[in-house]
Amino acid sequence: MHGRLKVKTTAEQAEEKRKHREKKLKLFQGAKAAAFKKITAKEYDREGLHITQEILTANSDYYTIWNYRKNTFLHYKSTKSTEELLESFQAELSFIQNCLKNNPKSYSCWNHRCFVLLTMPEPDWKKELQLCNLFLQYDERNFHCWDYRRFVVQHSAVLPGDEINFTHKLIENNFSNYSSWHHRSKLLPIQCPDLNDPNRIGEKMLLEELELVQNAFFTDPNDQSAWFYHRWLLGRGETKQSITCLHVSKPDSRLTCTLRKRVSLAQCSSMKVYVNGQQQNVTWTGVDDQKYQHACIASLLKSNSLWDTTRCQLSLHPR
Amino acid sequence: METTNNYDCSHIAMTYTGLASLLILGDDLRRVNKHACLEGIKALQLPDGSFKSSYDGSENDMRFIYCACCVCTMLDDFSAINQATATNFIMKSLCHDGAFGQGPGHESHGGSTYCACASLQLMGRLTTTLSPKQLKRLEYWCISRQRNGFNGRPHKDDDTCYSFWVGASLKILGIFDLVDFKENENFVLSTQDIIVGGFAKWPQINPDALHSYMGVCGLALMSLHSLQPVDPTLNISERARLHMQTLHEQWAVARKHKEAVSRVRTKSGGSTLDRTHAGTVALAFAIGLGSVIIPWVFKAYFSKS
Repeated sequence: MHGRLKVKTTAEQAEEKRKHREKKLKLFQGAKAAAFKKITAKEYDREGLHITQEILTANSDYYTIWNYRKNTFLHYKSTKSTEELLESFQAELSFIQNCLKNNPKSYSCWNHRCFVLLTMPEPDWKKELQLCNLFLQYDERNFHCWDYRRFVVQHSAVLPGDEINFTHKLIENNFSNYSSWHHRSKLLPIQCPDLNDPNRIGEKMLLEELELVQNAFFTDPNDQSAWFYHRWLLGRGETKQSITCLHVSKPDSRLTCTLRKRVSLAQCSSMKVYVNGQQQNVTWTGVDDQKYQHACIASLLKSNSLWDTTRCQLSLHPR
Repeated sequence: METTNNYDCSHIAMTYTGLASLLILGDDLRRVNKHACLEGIKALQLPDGSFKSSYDGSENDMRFIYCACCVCTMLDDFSAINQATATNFIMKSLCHDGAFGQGPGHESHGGSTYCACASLQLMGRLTTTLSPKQLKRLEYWCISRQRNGFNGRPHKDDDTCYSFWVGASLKILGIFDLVDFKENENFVLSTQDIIVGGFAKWPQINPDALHSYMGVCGLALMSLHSLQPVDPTLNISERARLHMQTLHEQWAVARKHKEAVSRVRTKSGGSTLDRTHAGTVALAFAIGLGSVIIPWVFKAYFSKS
């Protein structure tokens, strides 16, 4: 079995194990056959839930069986009272939690839990956050759990600020908690956006973060988490756009412009060219097929009076 | 062909591995209903560009974008998927450290990074979507996964399968030569079971089929132990990929021939088939009429005697 340590057994123990496995297999195959009868007949009832529960307890990655349970709950939604429904969903959440204890990295289990939370009346998001705390205690790098946490935060009234504080606690306990730094990187732009550019982080927060991350790599210079985060933070600072070089080629009637920050061709089109005060009709092209360019080229009309003068004024007006 | 369980719907990863297996076995895919296959893939794409795995419902993430791109590549037809939205989803999954998570907001991971790189490469959009700066950051993250073997995320243990997932990503990015071959090889071999063979994720763990395959591929990327070269994007051998290429060339020829025939028909202002059909009917009529008249003539003539 995947991930299990090898253990030596006697021939007797091996035979016992084989018999036990055979018995388990027979039960599993029996349950599977019964479940597929239910699925084919589209019978969504308690018996079906009981049979599928047996199967999923043995194999919680069986997505077809999870989908049967999903269809059963959707059927219940249109036939049961709110009280009964809530009871059924609560029982389902307990069942999923048990499956997750044995298989905390099962895509199907976490996905089914999302379905339950989105379908049940009165979901308790606070409880779900507590579940995440519990599973992160077992394994602070379990990305399934982190993803589920982001799902809960998104759907509930949890403030980004509270989540940032949560990551702060985890990071203080263990600077090497890469997943916490990652979670933080997603929250900061929401919590403290730069007023001028929503993709940037506000100056004050940026400086506080720099201090935090510097503490981290001074404490443990070998910790990759802090260095990756530091590099990302440096990119959050504001770079003002400017023209670094403008070249005019008279023989080729061509303008070449290099910019400090890359632009897309769409953004280039907003750059207006004036020759001796008269706006020119130009089309900017890139130097290669990259989406974002540092340099762009525009062709000017050959008959332009520009070429008759020895002095000219060129102004570029980027938006 | 016998149908499988009629209450199971297909799974995109099984479609990918099914087609890959057929190509590996040298099949000509004549028995594959390509149109149905592609329609099935199309039905799994979501508005955000990602794919779920089965029609009944499942999680949706980078793994299934990869599967979709592979199926389209193998069937030589990308018309079924919306490449723009798929690319958009991939780019939204780029993380603060320059690598890719399973989806927007998800932590970067060797497996999802491979799926993203390979998908972009298969769609022919790797270098046109990622800027040189983004590519450099991605390369840095990937090469940083190597300690001895490779891990899937910073501060995790080396695991045999990442010798493929990350190794293949480095191949796609064109910097595989920066890998320490000896350390990588030593780690993979350390996970080999010396009694029953096969590879495991870690040393002293029971081997399994997945890690055995990934271990072999990880070594094959380095062209070691006389292993066949492996194609890093489709995750099949070069030999199987060349077979696929041959099939694609044959399909292209067949398509051109079909197009030429249809052009001839429409050009002559009436279907040649109609003229042939008319000729056949005339001949049949003549034979029928002849078979009535000729015996009557004989009868009339000879009965007089």
